[in-house]
Amino acid sequence: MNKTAATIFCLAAVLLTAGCAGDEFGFYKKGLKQGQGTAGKAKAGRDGGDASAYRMADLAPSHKPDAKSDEAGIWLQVENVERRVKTAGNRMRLASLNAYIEKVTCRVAGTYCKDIRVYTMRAPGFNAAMYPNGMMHIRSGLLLRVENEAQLAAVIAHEAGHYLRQHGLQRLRDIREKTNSLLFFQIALAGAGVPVVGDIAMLATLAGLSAFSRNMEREADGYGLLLLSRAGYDPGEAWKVWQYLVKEKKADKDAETPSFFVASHPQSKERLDTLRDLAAKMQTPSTADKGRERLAKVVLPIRAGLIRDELHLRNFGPFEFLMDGLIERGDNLAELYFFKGEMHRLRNKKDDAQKSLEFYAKARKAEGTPPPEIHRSMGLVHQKLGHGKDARAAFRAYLADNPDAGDRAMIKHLIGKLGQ
Amino acid sequence: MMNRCLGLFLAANLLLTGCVGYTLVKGGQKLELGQGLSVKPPRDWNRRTEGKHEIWTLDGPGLQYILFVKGIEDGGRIFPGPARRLLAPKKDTFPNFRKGMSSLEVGELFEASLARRGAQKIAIAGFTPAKFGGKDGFRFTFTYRTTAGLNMRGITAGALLGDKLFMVIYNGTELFFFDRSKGYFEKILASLTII
Amino acid sequence: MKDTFFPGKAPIIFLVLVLMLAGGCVTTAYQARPNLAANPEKRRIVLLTPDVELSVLHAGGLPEVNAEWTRLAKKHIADNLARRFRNINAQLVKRVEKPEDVGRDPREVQLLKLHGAVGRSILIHQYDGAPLQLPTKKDKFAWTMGPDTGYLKQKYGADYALFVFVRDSYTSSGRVAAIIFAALLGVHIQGGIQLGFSSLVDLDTGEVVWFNRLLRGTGDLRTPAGANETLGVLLSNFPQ
Repeated sequence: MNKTAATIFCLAAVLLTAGCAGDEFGFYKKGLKQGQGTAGKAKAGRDGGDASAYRMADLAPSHKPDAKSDEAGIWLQVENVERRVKTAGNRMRLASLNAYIEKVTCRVAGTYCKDIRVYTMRAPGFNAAMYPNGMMHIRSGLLLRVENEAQLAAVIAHEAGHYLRQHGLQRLRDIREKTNSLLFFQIALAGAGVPVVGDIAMLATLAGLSAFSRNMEREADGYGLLLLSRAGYDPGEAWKVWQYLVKEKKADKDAETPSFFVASHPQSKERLDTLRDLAAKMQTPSTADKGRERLAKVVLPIRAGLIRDELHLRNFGPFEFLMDGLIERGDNLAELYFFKGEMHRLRNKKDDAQKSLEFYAKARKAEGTPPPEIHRSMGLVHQKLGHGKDARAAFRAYLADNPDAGDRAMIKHLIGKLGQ
Repeated sequence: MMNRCLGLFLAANLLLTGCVGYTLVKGGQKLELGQGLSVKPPRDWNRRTEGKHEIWTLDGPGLQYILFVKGIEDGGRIFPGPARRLLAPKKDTFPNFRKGMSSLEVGELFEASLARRGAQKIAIAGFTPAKFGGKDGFRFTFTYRTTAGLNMRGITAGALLGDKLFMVIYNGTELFFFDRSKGYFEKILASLTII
Repeated sequence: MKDTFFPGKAPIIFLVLVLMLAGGCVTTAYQARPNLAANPEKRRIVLLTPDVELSVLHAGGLPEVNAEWTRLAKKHIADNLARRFRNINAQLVKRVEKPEDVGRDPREVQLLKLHGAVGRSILIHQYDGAPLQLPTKKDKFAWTMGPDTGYLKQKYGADYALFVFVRDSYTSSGRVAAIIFAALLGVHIQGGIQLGFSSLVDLDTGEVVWFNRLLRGTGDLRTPAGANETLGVLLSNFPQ
């Protein structure tokens, strides 16, 4: 590929991804007008009006596409994907977790309960995605970043909004329209002697230019709030999820590129404010459900593994932010202090080694149970700092707690070596 | 947006031109691998090299491979990454080898590196001291599942010599391919000498 | 994370490019054995989920899967295979996989995933001219999945397993118009592409007894006659 060809491609790619730049609140209002149907006018203004007027439009429960439609073709492709996802290595199969997620989804989706299938995919970071056939993916890292069931439900409700309004289908049709119109541009250039780069569309789909437009995101916000509220959750929890992500992004000062989710979901201040204001207008009873305990019950048993996934990223700024947030919530502090110790141990700059020992000590005194490898970590740090006696003691404690450890032979060997 | 553009441009470039081919390794002959390493494979293998990494395979790396890590230094990676980075990153957060790591920490590094490549349910076992080319080193076995859901098994042997990390990693599908060539791997490992 | 050092996990688009680079023949079949088992009762072939997608290529080049064409193509393929096998005194064993059954049998799941990995390896590493051809594979065809395939033999009552993968695109009228318009300007743009590969595995030993790949610009799977022609090409050199 030469430089000119690359420029043409990039130009095409930019054209394809330009969403509707128009009036942000107009889109909320438009959604409302549709929602109102024949009944009255939507209240104009910054807050976008009364969200309770949204109707579940266009998609009936148990919807299946017409066999001869383009939608049927899309469903076929996505069904192939779903078949692979079912046996994928990164799909979480924990029955208790899946049953819980299904319960929350059903509550949020109401009559659409049977149409939406949520798959939890094991990976660090926050992500959620909706496919045109009702398949939804949420990333396990998300479970660390929601404070309660209502916030989890808010994410599911937002994605369900995409499904109910068929944004995926609309988006693919948009791309088809745009690539059709670009073809003659491509041909004209080719005719002028510039080598054909290859089908723009093929390359565009390769580039994954399938993020929903900003207005679609806003529509999903509106529908999401409504679903949330109707399901009896506190809609005032929704904006907090996005606010958390904004703060987490700030904590990652040297980020190369923002996560795909952050890049494709507008985090503007007015979006957060709109979510907040719309929720305020919904006259939620004070007894509205947040579900902190129900979420904790499911997440706490698997939290250590999820935190380890985050640590594999070796991105210590946002990791510290994540940990400090979890510490503030206060569940099983011993486990959390241990992982702060791990963070310092793995970062290993300046006085990190000493800091890690402080956190391990804190973990052993705190409420809850630290993971069983805490003594191994302590041993490793003592060994690095030259504290032979402390290292041996720590490794011995590790072996006592973990008689079947996969590395017991090596640890025994180390104890022997440190004794000399 | 531009990042994605450049990314795609370079990715396409890589796909079209970036592949370095395989060459034949004759069995029964001693082969210098560079960095002071040599082995004597009992049979013919296929080999690809890239800097301090070298990969051997009989049926394709998706089925089985032996990865030679030939003395990586501070900041280096166990598994070779993409041929070219899309943009020079402001910071590299990929799990790297650090001078002064102990063998247990190398085990942690190995697990984190596998995880970053999409491996799931990683388990390390049988971590024990072992000779590596006659020098003091370590060894462990591992299992994991790929993102696609295929189960894998492996054996890692290595040593920390000076400020450098040497490893020989054998990886194969749990079904059939790991068992099939495990014997060859052990013979190759036994034949390994290092200066 | 994608990398070129371990391309074993390459997505399909990489495979297409590899095929196009390897170039040369439209179809190259490898045959480890010229014949199926002599015993007529041991010539049962189970068709493992044909992975078929037929798309219409819009003017701008965006392929859009057509569910109705795909459904027809799968039917034509199955019918045609049954007929072909009868002609060589073999039987087609059909395997119907309901959505709720996916993943229920972990042993089968691993075997099918392994088969996929072997097929990808063959495509990337076997062919002359492929940038990653393995020298030890050159001038012969020796691939196996190992004898654990006996499990599938038992499960389906079959002696062989046939795997079929097809991606086929057809030009819409808009695309045809664009192709003509471009040709007038002296520019070539791609019409429909037919891409496929197929493998036959001996379920007793796990040996891949036959393998073929297909890449060409013609072929129509939407009709029985078209399917017959395509399968004739896809199944060239099939053991008799």
